[in-house]
Amino acid sequence: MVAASIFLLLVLTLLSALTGRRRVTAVLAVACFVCMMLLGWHHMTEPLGLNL
Amino acid sequence: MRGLRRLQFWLLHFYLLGMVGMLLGGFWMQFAYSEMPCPLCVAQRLALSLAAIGPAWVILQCRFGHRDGASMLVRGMAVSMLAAIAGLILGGRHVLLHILPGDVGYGTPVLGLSLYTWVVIACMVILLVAAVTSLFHDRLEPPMVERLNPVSIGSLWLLAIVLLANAATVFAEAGFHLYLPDDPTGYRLFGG
Repeated sequence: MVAASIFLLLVLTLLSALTGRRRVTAVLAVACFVCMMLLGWHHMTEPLGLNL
Repeated sequence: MRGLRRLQFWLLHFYLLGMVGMLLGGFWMQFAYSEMPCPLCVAQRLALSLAAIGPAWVILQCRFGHRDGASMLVRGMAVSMLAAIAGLILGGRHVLLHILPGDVGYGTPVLGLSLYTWVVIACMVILLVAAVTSLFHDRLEPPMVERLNPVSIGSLWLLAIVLLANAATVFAEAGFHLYLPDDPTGYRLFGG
């Protein structure tokens, strides 16, 4: 559900770009980046039991 | 100069459709070969999707007639660069997981390379394109348009549909669990 939510956040980013709200789009894009990195970090470390 | 800017406008479409094509390729492997995307694969799809948002944002802003068109181009490329960095980290990690001799890798190779290796290559190309575009942003700023042409509208709709389709398939794969399974074999939402 986390990954699906980030895809929906990307759709929201596209919608804000459609409305021309530049600052909102920039904030949402950075939020997408942070969320995907956190999700990626979880999947990169958790299965191997790594404590980085 | 005007021709160069016009060319840049169409190159943004080419860039956007290239990212969408890669995402559709992932779908093709998922449904035609019944290969479920692993969590790292899905994270790489997220990175490619964000990389497509960059040029889509620039194309959409062409309608609003901003005085500083060059800065909007740099903003869009910055989003793509962020996505490419994420894609490189995630794809690089996936490559390292299967790099040892004798490891068959994950999924069917395409043109001799695994999908995650293609993601790494794509992210390197994105970084290069975004950096060069940002360097020459004053010459490459796209022209302002009264309204978007059918190709632009079609490309943006295609991106939106692919994003929603990804959200739906990932939700079907994860079901009502927070995270995807490490080694997915079916769609949890349907009892797989």
